[in-house]
This record gives sequence, C-alpha cells and structure tokens, in this order.
Amino acid sequence: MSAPHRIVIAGGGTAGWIAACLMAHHWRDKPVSITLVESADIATVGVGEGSTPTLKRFFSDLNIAESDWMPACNATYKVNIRFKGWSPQNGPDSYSHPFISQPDAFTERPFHVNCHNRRLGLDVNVTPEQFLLNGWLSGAGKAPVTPPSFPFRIEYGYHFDSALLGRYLKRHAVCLGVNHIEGKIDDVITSLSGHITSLKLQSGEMVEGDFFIDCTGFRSLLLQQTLDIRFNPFGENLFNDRAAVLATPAQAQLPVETTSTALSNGWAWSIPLSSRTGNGYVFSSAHLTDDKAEAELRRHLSVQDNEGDVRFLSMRVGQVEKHWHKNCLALGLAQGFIEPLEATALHLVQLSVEFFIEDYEQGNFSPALQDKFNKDVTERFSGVRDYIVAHYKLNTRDDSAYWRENRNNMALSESLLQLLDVWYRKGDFPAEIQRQNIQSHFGITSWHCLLAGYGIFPPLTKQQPGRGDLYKDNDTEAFFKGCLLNFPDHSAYLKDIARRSPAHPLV
Amino acid sequence: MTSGVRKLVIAGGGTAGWMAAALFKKVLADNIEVELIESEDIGIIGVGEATIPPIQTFNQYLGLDEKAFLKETHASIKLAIRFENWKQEGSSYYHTFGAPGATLGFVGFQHYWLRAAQNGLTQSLWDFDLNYLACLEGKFNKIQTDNPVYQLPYAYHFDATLYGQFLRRMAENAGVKRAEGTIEYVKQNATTGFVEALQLKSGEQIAGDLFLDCTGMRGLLLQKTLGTEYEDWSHWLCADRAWAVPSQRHEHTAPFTRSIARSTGWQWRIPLTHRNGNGLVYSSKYMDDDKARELLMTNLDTPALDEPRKISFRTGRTVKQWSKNVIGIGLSSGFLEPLESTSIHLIQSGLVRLLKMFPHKEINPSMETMYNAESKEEFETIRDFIILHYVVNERDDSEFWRDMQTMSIPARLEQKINAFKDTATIFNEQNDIFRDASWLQVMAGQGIMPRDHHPAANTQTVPQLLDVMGKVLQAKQQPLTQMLPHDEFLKRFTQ
Repeated sequence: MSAPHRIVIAGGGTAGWIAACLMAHHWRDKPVSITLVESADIATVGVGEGSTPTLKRFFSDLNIAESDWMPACNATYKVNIRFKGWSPQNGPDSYSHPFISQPDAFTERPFHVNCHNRRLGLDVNVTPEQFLLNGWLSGAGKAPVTPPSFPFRIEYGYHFDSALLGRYLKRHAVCLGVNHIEGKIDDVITSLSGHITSLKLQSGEMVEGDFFIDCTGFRSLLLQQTLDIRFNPFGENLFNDRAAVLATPAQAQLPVETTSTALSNGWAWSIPLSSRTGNGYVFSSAHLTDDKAEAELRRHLSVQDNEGDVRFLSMRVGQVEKHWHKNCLALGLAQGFIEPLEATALHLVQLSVEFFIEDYEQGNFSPALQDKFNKDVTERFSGVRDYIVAHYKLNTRDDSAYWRENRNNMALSESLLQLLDVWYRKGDFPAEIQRQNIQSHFGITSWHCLLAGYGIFPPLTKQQPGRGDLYKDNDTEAFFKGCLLNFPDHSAYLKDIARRSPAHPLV
Repeated sequence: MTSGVRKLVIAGGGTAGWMAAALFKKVLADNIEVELIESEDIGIIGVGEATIPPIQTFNQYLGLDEKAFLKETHASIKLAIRFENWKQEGSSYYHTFGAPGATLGFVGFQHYWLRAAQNGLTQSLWDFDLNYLACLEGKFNKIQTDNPVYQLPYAYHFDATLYGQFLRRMAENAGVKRAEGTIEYVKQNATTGFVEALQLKSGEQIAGDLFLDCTGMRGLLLQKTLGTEYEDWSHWLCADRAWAVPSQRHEHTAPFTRSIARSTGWQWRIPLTHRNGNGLVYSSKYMDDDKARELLMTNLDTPALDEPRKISFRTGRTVKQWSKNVIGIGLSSGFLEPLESTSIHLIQSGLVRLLKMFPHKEINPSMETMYNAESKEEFETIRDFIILHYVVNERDDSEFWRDMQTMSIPARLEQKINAFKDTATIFNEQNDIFRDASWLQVMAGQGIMPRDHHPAANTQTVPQLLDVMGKVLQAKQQPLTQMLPHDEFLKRFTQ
C-alpha cells in the first residue's frame, strides 16, 4: 500500500470507540488512517454494563491499567453471573455461572464426572459454584486479583458505566491518533460498483474512505440501509424485545457478580457499580405492557412509584445476513444484538473487531477473507444464541404463558437439539460438545453449569453406593478455602485502586 | 342436603379438573356455582395425549372452535393406532377409527370378506378401510357425507396440558372460580361422613355440596378420605410403570399413533405438531426402571427434548367411583394403561354420566348405585379389550410375551375370542366404547383367522361376491383424491 488506507468509522458509541482503539493500536505501524464520525445529537444506547473476560484482554492488549480506567468508569469486578428463580421446579433457588480460572484445572473434570454420576442417578454434589474458584470468590466478596505469590491466571469481567467507558475510550483513541470528526451523517455515497465512497455530513463536508465501519446502532445506516443487507431476527426462540431500566443507589458491600432474576415475563439484571446499581427488566412486549413491566420492576427492587425514572429501550434481536459486505463492516447493534443475559454484547463487538483486524490484514487489506470472517462471526452469534435459548427452553416456571411458551418452544437449532439429546440419553456430553466444536462459544463447564444449575437430572436411584462424590473425595472445599486466603476484599480493593488512580480530565 | 346442590367443588386442576369445570359451567350455567382448587406445586400427569373420536362430541358440547382448539393445543389428526411387533416381531396392523368395507347384508363385512378370501380375493380387510388408506398416504380431510362408506372418523393427538389451559380460560371466563392452594384437610360431616369443605394450607375453607375428586392417583377425597376400595387388575395387566419423554417432531406429522411392542412392554409415539410424545409402558416385575429408561431412550427416533419422567401406577378401578357426595373423575377413579387412548375418554364419559344423573334437590342413593354399575361395565369392557392385545400374540422372544399368552383371562373375554375364532362373530357389550370394527381389527390383527363365516354371506355366487368386493374397493379409493397431506390440511384449516 502506497497511499494510506483510509478507514472511516460511522458512529461513536462503545462499539465505535472499541473498534477505533483496537485498529489504531494494531495498525500503528501500518499506513492506515482512522477517522471516526459521530454526532453529539444522537444518543448512544449505552446499556451493556457487564462484560465477559474478553474485555480484560482488550485492556491488556492496549496496555491500559485497571487502576487507570476502572475508577474513571465506576467499574467493579465481575467473577460470575448468578441466576435466580429460573428453574424453581427442578433446580436450586439460584446457581451461578462462573468464569473459569486457572486453578479450576483441578476441579473442572471432577465437576463433569459428578454431573455424569448424577445423571446416572447418584446422589453427589453438582453445585456449579462449589467446583469453581470464581464461585468461591463471589461467595466471599473477594476481588479477583492476586499477589505474585499466587501466580495463577484468574478470569473475570467487569461491570462499568458504559457512557463513561465510551468517553474514556474516545480519549484513548484520540491519543492513538484517531481522527475525530463531529457531525451528523446526511447521506452515504456509493460508487457504481456498490461500494461506499464517502459519508456526506450535514455541514456539507464529505468524509472519504477506503473502508467503512457501521457503528450507527439499530439504524444501521450503512450496511442495512445503504447496502441492503438483510437482518435475520431471532424472535422465534428469543421472545424478549424490550427493557425497562432503573438505577438504584450503590450497595455498601459491592457484589462481585451480576444477578439475573427471572420475573413473570422475562428477567431482571442487577449490576453493581461503585456509583450506583444498574437494574433492568428484559421482557417480551407481546406478553407484557410497559406499565406492568415498570410496576413489576419497581416491586422487584422495592422502589416507590415516585422514585427515579424508568427508561424503556426496544431491542432488535438477531443478526445481519453478512457482517462484512463490500467495503463495509457493521459492529455493535448495527450487526445484531442478543439480549444481555450472558453479557455478550461487547464481547461480540470485540471478537468481531479482532477477527476483522486479523483477516483484513492477512488478506492484505482486501476482501479476500470476507467469507471466512462472515462465517466465523455468524457462528459466534449462533453459539451465543443457542446457550441463551437453552436458558428459556429448560425453564420450569409456571407463573405465566410466557414461560410455558418458552418451555414448549420447539424452534431449536440442530446443534442445541443434539446437545440436549445426548444429555437426556446419558451420553458422553463433553464428547458431544467437542464433536460439534462449539467450546469456543461456551465451554464444557459452562454447559454443565447451566444444566446442573437448572437441575436437569433424572430421579435418584434407590440404591446409593454412598461414595463416588469427587467433591468430597478430593476435599474440594479445603482447596478453595485455601485459595481464598490470597484474595483481597472487593470493596476495599476498589477504594484502594481509586486512591492510586491519576485524576482524569473527562474530555 | 335439603336445600339442593348449589355448589360444586372440584379438587385438582389437571386435564380432568378443567374438563369438568368447563362442562358443568357450560351446561348448568348459573344454576350452580363451580369452584376449582389447584396447586401450582403439584404437577399434573398430562400424558393422555391421544384420544378417540367421542372427544369431538365433548368439544362440541363446550362450543369449542375446532380451529382454535387445534392451534392452541398443537393438535394433529388421529385416524388410527398402528400396532407394531404385537403379533410377531416385524408385523404390524392398524386399529383405525373407521370400519372395513360396507354393510352388505344382515351380517358383518368380515363374513363376506372371509368367504371372498377363501375364493381368491387377495386384499386384506384393511384395504377396505378408508382410514387405513388415508394413513398409508399420510392424508386427511374433513369429509361431509352421510354414506358410511365414505366416512373418515377421526380423533386428535394434542398436548393435554395445553388443552387443560385452554379449557381453564374458557371456564374462568364463564364464571368458574379458581382457588390456588394445596388441600390440607378434608372436613366431613360427623354423622353422615359427607364431605363438607376442603381446607387449604392457607387456612381458607372451601365449602360445597358436591365434590369432584380430580386429584389424580392420590385420590385425596375418594380413597384417602372416604376409604373407598380399589380393585386391583394387575394379575391381568401387569404393567405398573411408564417412562414418558417428548422428542423433536417429525418432518411430516403422521395421522396416527404408533404403539410398538418391545421385548417387555410397549412404546407409544404420538405425533403433535410441535413435538412427539413418547413413552414406554412396562412391568417392574419383568424389567427394572433403568433398563426401561434405556430401552425407551435408545428407541427414540428424534432428539429428546426433556428428561424422561417416570410414572408409577396400579391398574384397576375404584369400586365406588361415586361415594356419598364425592365423584372420582380421572385417575382417582382408576387406571388403565393408555394402549387404546382411553384416559381422556374415561374422564369425559364419567362427566357425561354424572351430568345425566346430576343431583338436583338431593343426592339419591340409587343414582350412586347406577353410576357405579355403569362405570364398572365401562372400565371392564375397556380392560378386556386391552387384555386382548396381550393375550393373543405369537411372540416367543421373551418370558414376558410367553407369560402373556398363557395367562388366564376374564371369562367374558375368553368367550368373545372363542366365538370369533370359530364363527367370525363378534358380540357387542352395550356399554363397550369399542364396537365391532375395533374388536375385529384387533382380533384379526393379533393373528386370529376365523375358521368359519356366517352362512348369510353365502347367498351370492362367488363371481358376484368378488364383483361386489371390487366395487367396494373402488368406492373406498375415491375420497382419497379429495384429501390433503396431513400437515397441509392442518395449515389450511387453522389459517
């Protein structure tokens, strides 16, 4: 490439700035120029307040210290998601789905074996959070950080204020040399070949580019509206299309987990930030009106009618037919959205950008690897979708038509059908996950957490040998209690890093 | 009781409870108050997913819109049951809701067919049955005709839980009250023993004049409280367990139930539009639970959609299904394995019987006696029909099937089988829901070839008889052209 390759990002929400940061960082030594166009008039959706461990990689790739960005974004640590009330008839009241840390290498396999034995009817411990370090961290309210004397990799995500994170990333991107243009896009100009050539701003200014990234949210001004790429909705097995959002004051002792509580026609998240607690009720508008959702959310949070304003969001759940088409890549809500039950929104954005950087560079900044990229990203969306769908399909709530319809829903992917079939037939479940090669979406342990957490097991057999419980045999409890001694208290640790953090001018 | 029956209390809200609530409210309207008590903590069995044609009459009483019903309950059409491996491993026959042939004279079609078969006719009895022909092609349509030759009687497969919910909405709209809670205590009159009220865990008391026990096999009112006797039939029908599991639907929804005999017991496969229902009925004397579960799961032909559920039962009947002011409807009145899809029918016929004899001013003891006599007859004739499937078999591959061949059976059934063997004649019991055509298909299908036929079938010459048979065959083919593939019919009809 002789002349610099011009990449233009349309839209400056979290997705836009994540893309800007990662591209500017990875291509710092390449002749690439990056421009981001955003309008102050267009509000960002800005929910996505919880993340998966993928975001930890993002900050470490960019060499951004937690002590720097976390206090600036009122962030807290997240080691698992706790699910309450999803399977009242079979399962425990709640279970958690922890991120997998390195010390779990000792206990993951015993957990799978115990689950298998429980599937054969033996009375053994199958509580997911007791087999995984992060479950213990959450139970003890510990921050997932360790001294050098405990040199194991701990996996975790974060909770954060996404508006503040957007601002933080913007500042960082600009430092990395990203060109920031303020302006509203009036028109998208294409050539005869159907490629995008420039964005026309309201001011009349033309922003030309070689490659365009559509981060314009659900509107998808570039990929869907201009290039006519079809959107494939997931409504046949994910009914939720709306959220009611209401913040409450921060908790004194900050939990290290997101809580997801099943309500009458959906579920409510609770995300602890250092400044407030983010709450939202994700529901199906076909089953519940806004008024009823608001009343139920207020009841759930014990918040009076006159306290705080409930904000409503509509969600368009699904994904585009092609994430990358011609010289345009869609990211974030413009490429698709899956409800935040497993906090996968930013995870999918980040993965898409990482895949793109790799494939685009490998293809020498040409569309050579476009098909491969589209296949990879589409599979990621489908993999996340299946895992989420399983939460609904397997529920045992009986308090509304919503839950019964979910249970009776037969629109399941072939992959999910086969997976559940092997489980019910007492087959080799880990082998099936490997056969399908889907562990990169949610691994063997995650699937076990879900199925064990929901109590999807046959009745106990009459004759119990009274042994074969690897949880007891391996003295798992003592092992994890020993591990816990190395971790600091979550709230105290956050105060500690806030003290060490430099003061930031927020743009 | 002098003030009359003003309030009906239904204990239990499974399929039986809501069928009862919907029917009584519909027919008796404001003459009676109906309250149903159910608990979300108590699961329902809800496996009776296949039905027999009288369910249509019941739905019509209720004024159900057939389209809405089909849609809401994910129903499909049922024209027959296909019995596989029952006579021998690899054999199969259909028990259809139709009847083979046509009325050709004073005696049943089988006599003419037997004579024709001895004289060169190659077609089986079933080739003369429109339901069978439609099953083979997977087709259906509603056919309006008064000519029995062209009739296509049908029933449904449906999701019994959804059916219950459908009826619940209807009943509640019509004014049936629903109380949520678990019944903790049954309050009886100290002198008469009549039930006066049901007390819930919350302390609330629900009083009534007449009580329906729809509490399932527990029989909370009839058995637990009034201590009515249970007549055990397990020496004839030894199955006492079932595993049930849903699985993914087939690409094409079959218009018939499959009943597949296994080394011990038998497996059902019921096609609904959103999934298949499957189950294995077996006897714990011959096979342990784990083996049975495995047998079922290895014989599922589509992916399983749930953890299999085990159901334990004792075949037999409650001797006094009506006792004092309590009537048992559904499983509290007795249990017969679902081989001929009679569970929901027994609910229905119990309700209709009670409705006919519904006490007005007082509960007349002779009503109770007549009700119990009729229901006894009904249960026994179904029982005998089910025993027939087991006792007449030619399987030699397991102890189970050999034991079935040699068991001693009720005398009336034995007479019926012998009469058919010798003369091809079928005797009808008055209260038997299964008529000549049903007995004929199962007796012939299980392998009984009668030694003789009735002389009344000899009045024509052989060429005349074969000519008539040919015309019947042709006539039976004709309606097939008006039929649609089953799924296509469902789609168009419910649109």
